[in-house]
Amino acid sequence: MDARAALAVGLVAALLAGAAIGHHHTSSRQLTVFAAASLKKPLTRLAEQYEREKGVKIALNFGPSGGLTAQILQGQRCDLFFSADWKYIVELRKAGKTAKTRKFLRDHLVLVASKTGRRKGVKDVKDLTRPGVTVAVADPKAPVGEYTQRALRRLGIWDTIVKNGNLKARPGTVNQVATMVKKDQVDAGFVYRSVAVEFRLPIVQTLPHSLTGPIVWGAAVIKGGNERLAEDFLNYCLRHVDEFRKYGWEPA
Amino acid sequence: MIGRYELLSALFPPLFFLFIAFPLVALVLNLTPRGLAQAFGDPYFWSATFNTILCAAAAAVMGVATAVGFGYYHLFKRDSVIYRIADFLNDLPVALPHTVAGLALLLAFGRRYFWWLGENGLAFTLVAVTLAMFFVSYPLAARAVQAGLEEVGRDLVEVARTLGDTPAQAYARVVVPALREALLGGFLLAFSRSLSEFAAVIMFGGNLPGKTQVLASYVFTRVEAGDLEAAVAASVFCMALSLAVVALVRSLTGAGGLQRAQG
Repeated sequence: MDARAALAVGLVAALLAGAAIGHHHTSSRQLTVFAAASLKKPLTRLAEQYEREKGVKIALNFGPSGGLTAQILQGQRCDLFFSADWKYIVELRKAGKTAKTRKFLRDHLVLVASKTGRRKGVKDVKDLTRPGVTVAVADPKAPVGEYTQRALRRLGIWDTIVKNGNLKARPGTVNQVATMVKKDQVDAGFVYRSVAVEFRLPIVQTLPHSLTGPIVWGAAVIKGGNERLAEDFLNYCLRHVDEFRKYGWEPA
Repeated sequence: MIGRYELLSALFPPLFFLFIAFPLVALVLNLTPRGLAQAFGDPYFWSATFNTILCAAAAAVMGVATAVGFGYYHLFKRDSVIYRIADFLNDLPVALPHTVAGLALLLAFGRRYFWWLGENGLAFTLVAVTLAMFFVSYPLAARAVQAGLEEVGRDLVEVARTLGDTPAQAYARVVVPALREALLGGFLLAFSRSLSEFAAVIMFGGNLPGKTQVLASYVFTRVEAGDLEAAVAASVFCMALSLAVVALVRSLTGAGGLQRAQG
């Protein structure tokens, strides 16, 4: 390698080092919160309120819970994590990444029907097996897809829906299911109650936890971050849980 | 001492190897036997592979065929409204967030306007998967043809015209055969781009395992689920697949010729 190339390598390295140092500069007045995208509205509101009251700075990073979990496992800086599913909290706890974990919110799986779906008379989960009724169920890799599959299995209609070709789409996220129903591209779909509220989709049927298994949103204070402030903000959210009730959740 | 003019060329190797090559190496380094076993043991992985190759090839053929038509307008009808709109819109699918592209396709070809084609219109079929891939990859084929035409030049056309050909005849008989390299380059670009598309394919194609799922959406859902080992294995397979296709087409056409067209 000649001198010029070496100098160039040095330049890039210095640039990266600078970025890395800048990234790790933190203070006790700053909190980095990772949260499931579905929590955006209530959490943004509470964070703004908290910032005003306590004079701290909260950086919110919204994304899919699985992706955020992978980021935290890879060592991405995060003080507090709100997950759309309890299983990701368990995953982080097993990896030794959490200082404190707790169940945060409860949600329910609901059946929603589109305009055409309601015209076809979709009033109950059982109607999904009828010929000509199309349904979207999130991919089983997404928790909501897993809950739906479990509930329909327990009701004994999953195999029929798959075999008869009622199942038309397996979108990657719950919001995509909601979009398909909202835009009337399928007759019915399964989403969380909070998502149905957000998309203003009329709820046809609410499935009990006895069918789906517990649907619990979790929170984790991440080890090695600003743990004290993270716990304080978590408690603040728990005290203001009514903000989340507005969007269809219940306290866990 | 590094001169002003040498700076960029000296920066190229470190920038390229660090930011472009290293992530690919990192993917290979993170390959595990367990991940390979998980991916290769999954029948849905193989049906996704089959769907991917089939639809991406169809999308690339469609892309090149459409791009050849675009090339005619580029050469002979550059003042027409059709050409101006097409040229302007060529960059849009590249810039559009791909979930938006998927939603746009679903709204356009779903049952709202295409109910007469079936209960879901064109949506949630392998045709939909192909159309989603075509939508995002066509501009690359069009740009390749455009670049190829600049090289062929108008001289060739003028010669053909003096021999009595109409524009369409000159284009089909003289220009298109001379574009062979550009067309192959365009095909490869469009095919590779199609392999990597997941957002539009999920929304419009349906992502039904065993039916309309493709490799990219298979990887995407695995990553979302934190199922990293299998996702890495499937990604490396995807990478190898596109490299194999590039190598295959290059060996069929004689090495080296494609570089210009791809540039």
